[in-house]
Amino acid sequence: MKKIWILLIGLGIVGCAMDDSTSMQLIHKKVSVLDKGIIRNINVSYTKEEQSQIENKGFIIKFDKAMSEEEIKTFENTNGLKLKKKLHSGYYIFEKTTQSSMFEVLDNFIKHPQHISTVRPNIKLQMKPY
Amino acid sequence: MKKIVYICTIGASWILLGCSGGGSVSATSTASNDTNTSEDTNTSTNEEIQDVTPPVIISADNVSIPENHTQIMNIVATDESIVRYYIVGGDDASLFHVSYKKGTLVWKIGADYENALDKDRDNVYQIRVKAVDIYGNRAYQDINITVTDINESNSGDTDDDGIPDNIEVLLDMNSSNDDQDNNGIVDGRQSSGDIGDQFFNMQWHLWDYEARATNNSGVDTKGIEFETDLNVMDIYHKYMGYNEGDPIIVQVVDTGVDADHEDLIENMDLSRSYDGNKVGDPSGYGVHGTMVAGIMASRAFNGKGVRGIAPFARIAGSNWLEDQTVEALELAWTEDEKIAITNNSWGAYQMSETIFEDFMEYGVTHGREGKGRIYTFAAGNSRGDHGDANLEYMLSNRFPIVVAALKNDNTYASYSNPGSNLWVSGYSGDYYQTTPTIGTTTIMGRSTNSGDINTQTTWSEDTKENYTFAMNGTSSAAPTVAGSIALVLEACPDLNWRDVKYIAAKTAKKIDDETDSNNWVVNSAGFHHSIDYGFGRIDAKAMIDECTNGYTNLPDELNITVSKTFNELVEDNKSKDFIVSVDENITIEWVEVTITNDHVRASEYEINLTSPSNTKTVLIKPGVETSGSWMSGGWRFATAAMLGEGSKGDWNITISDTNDSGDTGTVSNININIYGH
Repeated sequence: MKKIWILLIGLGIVGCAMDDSTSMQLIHKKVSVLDKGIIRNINVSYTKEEQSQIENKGFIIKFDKAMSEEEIKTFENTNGLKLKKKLHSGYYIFEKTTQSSMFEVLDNFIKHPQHISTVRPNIKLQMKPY
Repeated sequence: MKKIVYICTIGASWILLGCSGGGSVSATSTASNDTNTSEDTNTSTNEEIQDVTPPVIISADNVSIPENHTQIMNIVATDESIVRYYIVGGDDASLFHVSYKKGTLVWKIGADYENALDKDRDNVYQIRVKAVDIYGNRAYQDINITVTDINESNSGDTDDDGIPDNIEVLLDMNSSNDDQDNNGIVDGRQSSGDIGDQFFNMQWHLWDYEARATNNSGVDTKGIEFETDLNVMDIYHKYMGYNEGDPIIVQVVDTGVDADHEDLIENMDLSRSYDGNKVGDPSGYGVHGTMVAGIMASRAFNGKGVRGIAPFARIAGSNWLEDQTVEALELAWTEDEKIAITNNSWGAYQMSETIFEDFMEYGVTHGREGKGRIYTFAAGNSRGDHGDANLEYMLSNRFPIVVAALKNDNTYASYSNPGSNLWVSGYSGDYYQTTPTIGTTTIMGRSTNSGDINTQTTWSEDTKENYTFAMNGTSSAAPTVAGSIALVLEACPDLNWRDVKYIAAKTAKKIDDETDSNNWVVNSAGFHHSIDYGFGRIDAKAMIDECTNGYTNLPDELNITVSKTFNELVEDNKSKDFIVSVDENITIEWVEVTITNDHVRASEYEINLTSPSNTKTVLIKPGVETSGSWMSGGWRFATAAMLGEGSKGDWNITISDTNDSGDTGTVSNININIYGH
């Protein structure tokens, strides 16, 4: 909540309400991902306003082999990606630099895995408290 | 009274919009230039300077505090307006946090005399604080904090009052006097006075004897012998999570934790807490995480509201649920090897990604200096919608301890998901209107003692509305298990993550064995397991008895995988057995069965697994509220029910199509993956 307040104040739009209810309608899309080499579907939900933001998301990727720096560079150049971080667990986070949408790049990974074992778009999860 | 409207730019220390009052003066205040004060470069518009007198800091500038305390002092400044407090310098500033509203000064990590962290390692810490009034006037003070040594060794409970001696030393109590206020109640069971936890007697999950289990719900179970607590009271003579001054760290990955809460602040570890993906204040808007944190580790003997199960453990908070990036989750789950237990009271319905178990695998491999972090998970609350914990891959792998929810009559809560992958049960309650539920902390001032707003209802005596007695869901059951395990890890720090699971299973209390007897199985190794309860209710005392009496850790983990292709139809409304033979023999700890089947409505299936030792468990019941051919890419089910059995022999997977819908499916492949030793 504190972040929202600061953002609103910064933009000078305290108290403004969205009146275009259609823009808040969620678009649900089933997206194929690779999970340890198996193609699975995950649900991606977003509003029309969030569409370009979603399409520009990067990826979380695990390879089926240890990747050298050179191989990562080649992977970045081939797919229009930029390495952001390698996580403790061995996953890589890539940002997208290509003009192709996240969905298009993901489709390409399914067709041409390039040693990818697991890939999912780097979008927020939607876990619920129990 | 003047009306003052401040318009603050980003970076303002405080925001006050539309203060009501009689007049209509708008005020401007410009903070004076100061190189130390980057955090209040706010510019306010104010037609009339109201006050140019700076606050006066009247609190001490030299304090001495025994090691292992988190809360140091309240910085107090006098002024005619509101004052905010900041740490602005000093050699050791990074080790401290101040509540800017209240001036409460705390360690981020807690001081350890034997391992001084101050710049010159002499146990004298130096910081500079600033008090700023609402007009931007400011005052500074240098504070020296001297840490003194105390005896931290665990010598038991000399006066037998339910508080270990070393904690009595920490709290400056008399460890030879079991009733310091001479009111006839031993110190460890006080619910009033300076050391009493005000609502301790309402916390039936901690102590059912004479506990008023009504929670104001109208369901008064006082006097009924249920044996419905976590069996921790005896443990408290020796273990409370304090761990001789090196507290067990429990992590709450949730909506955040109110780090300034009066009953949590002493136990917060802000050096290991996360605000998103950076170390920082874990506070969030949602109350859920603060409720979970209080169940595990709200402070005892401080004259405040409730007691956590491990009341001297430290809490590492995370507000991840409010900004759910995968990167931040991985960081919280894997980053710090001192974090012993991570509680996760959340999940998703039907999720089949394995990325999360990869994160946990890193944690069990590297956490606790290689002994492995413990991950406790809520089983989910969708029993009413045919939910099952086996529908979440995050729960159907061998790393987490998946927890079902119990009511205080030792039967499962109406919402608690079943699942052959359940490990143990913890207490929760159904709904506070019908059964006793769990008393815990909530964000300060966010509950109500007059009326009914569901999960935030509190006792009428909770005048500041900082607590609630209405916490329920498998969300509250999971932290009862996490808190119990914190006590076990203090007693037996060398347990590997697999040993913790094994001992929990071995010692769990079998409950409700009359009303639902058909759901209990006793396997050939003597373990009882139920798809409603796992191995039963967690029993921390029995776990400690087991691990402190000659227990030897399990041998290294082994793994067997057998895959068989079938391409065989299961006819409509009929059952078919599929046999997979395993040639190798290991002692089973965990079994995963992945079935690939193209039924367009796979939820028509009931699937049972029978081990070579003839132990049978239900992998999934029919009626799951999901459509489509969700098993077509292969669906992994898991079971704990064969713990301790041998793996060698024929495994029978019985798949029953329970509906004559005309739709059928073909089993193309079954893969069995067995972990053990």
